[in-house]
Amino acid sequence: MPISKNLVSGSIFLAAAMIFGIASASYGFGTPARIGPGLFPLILSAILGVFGLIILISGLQKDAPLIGRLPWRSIALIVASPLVLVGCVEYIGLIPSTALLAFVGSFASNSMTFRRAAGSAIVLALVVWLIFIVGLGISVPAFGLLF
Amino acid sequence: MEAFSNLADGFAVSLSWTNVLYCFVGVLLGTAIGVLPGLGPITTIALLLPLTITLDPTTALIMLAGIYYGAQYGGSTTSILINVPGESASVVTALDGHQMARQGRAGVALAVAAIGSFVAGTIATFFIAFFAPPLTELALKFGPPEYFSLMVLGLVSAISLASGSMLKAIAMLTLGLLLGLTGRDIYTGLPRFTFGSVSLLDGIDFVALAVGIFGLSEILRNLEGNTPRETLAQKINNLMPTRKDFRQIAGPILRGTGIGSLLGILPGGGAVLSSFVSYTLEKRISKQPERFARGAIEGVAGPESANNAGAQTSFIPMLTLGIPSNPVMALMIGAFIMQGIMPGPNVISSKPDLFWGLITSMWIGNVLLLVLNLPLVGIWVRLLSIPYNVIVPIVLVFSAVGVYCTAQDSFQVALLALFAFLGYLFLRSDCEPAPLILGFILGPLLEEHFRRSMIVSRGDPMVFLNHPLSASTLLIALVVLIVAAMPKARIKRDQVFAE
Repeated sequence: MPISKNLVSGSIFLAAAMIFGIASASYGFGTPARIGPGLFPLILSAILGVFGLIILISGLQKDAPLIGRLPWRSIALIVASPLVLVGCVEYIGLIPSTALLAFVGSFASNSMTFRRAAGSAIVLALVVWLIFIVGLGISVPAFGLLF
Repeated sequence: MEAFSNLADGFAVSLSWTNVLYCFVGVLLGTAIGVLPGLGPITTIALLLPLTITLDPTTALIMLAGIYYGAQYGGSTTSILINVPGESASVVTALDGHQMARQGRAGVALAVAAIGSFVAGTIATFFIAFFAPPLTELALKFGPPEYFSLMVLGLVSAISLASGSMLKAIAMLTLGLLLGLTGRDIYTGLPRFTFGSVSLLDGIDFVALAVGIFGLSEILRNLEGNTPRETLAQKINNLMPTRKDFRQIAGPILRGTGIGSLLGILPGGGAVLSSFVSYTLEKRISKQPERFARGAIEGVAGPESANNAGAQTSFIPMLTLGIPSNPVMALMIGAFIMQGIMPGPNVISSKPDLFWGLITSMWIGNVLLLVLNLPLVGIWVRLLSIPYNVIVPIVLVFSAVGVYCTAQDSFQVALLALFAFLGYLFLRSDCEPAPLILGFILGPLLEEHFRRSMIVSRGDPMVFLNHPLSASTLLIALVVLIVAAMPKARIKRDQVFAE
């Protein structure tokens, strides 16, 4: 089934409106003079929900512009590479994780060779070490527990 | 004159060795990253922001401001040389600038952009020095209802000026406001939208949001098609505009500066609007309007001056009211907050060094741009030919490591991945990200002033209409919204953006 642009964005807005709206409902609305933590976000969620629904419905029209083919391989790799850092940084430290992240991320572009990816991984790990650890002196473990 | 003595005090701060050095580094890095295709000022600032966290607040903000001008100039360079405007403010520059480049006058176009920016920057610096203090005085009299209404006006203007569907702009804005509310509630301490995560108690890291939504999603868009970029291989040797050029650009530069300085202050204004208006004006008053879009030097001089002046005066509402008028200023507010300073009318009296140091550093930044960029143009041209598959891992590493180092928390890096994906879906479905980031910064402020107003009025919502200033601001917001929603205005606006 061809998927339209407005169907995608409308669904995201509507889903977000529901998540935020349901959560806000449990935070308490307070009184007019002392507004609770739930009221303002609930109003916003309602607005988002209404607009999300309008956008979604307009996306169901026959002639709605389609979103087209998505580059899933690139998307997966771009999303995965920060997650590599998330998964590794506590065990092997920032610098080795950076190298892994750069290596994985490099393959998001279509024309990438193993050697070039490894090269950029090493160079970027070095650059990060110089800028963030040596230069800025940010106190994160550079080389984690394994080293 | 008080303005002059303030400026003198400011220069004493901004001309210190450290500050000049970091201003220089900021301008240099900003230009270098801004020149890379697909990386506009917002992405550039967000990417480089983590580099400033360990600096002293004044120095950090001076460096960030430098990054901003640098990135803007970098954007003009790519518009002129390869017809790829890095950001919306330089779309107009591409029209005539790239034509000039094709006629072998790339050097002159770049020089005119730099000279125009410099003149505009100089005048805008004085403009800020004169107008910021009275506006601060006024802002000190504002109560919560006035602030609330001003923010509503700012947000409404941002929606009206966003390109594309207004429905989507409102949805993006509301989503941004909600995302901004994540974390502990300021009044009750209740954690909201954290879904049990300790990392979210202090909210979503705004570097993660900005880099994900603006930077990584843009990378994905650029990876879509491997369209070969048109690189201008020609050597740039002739930088100096001729006498005739100078005569032609003097008027556009001054008019552009005026337009930019005024429009920059308006909520929702800033660089983009200024450059469009300036271009339209120059074309309209020109004796030979047919030369435009065919390499008219006025079409570069006017908009480039206007966008630089607008970029600079958009600091005024940010510094005096603490209200961002555009996404870049939203990032600057984020940077202030990271440095532990809440931007607003108190900054000028509680931190005069920072305030005047920052303002005068803008002028220094403009001087540095002029002396730096023209001789270095050759290097910037070479940066343009860096293949995209080299840029991808660099941007990825700097965004992820930057978020990790500012937040000191790997959960926020995971959010970066989520925002990259969402941001790309938004791009593909024509939802502009700018209102989202504005909403994100303004969300907590808007709610705070709303609730404070209600406390002050003991629960009477008429408080927003009983205060004359608040009521008139809301009225203006309503008018702006209605005008923008009218079909006729939509068509006209689309024409401006399409031109």
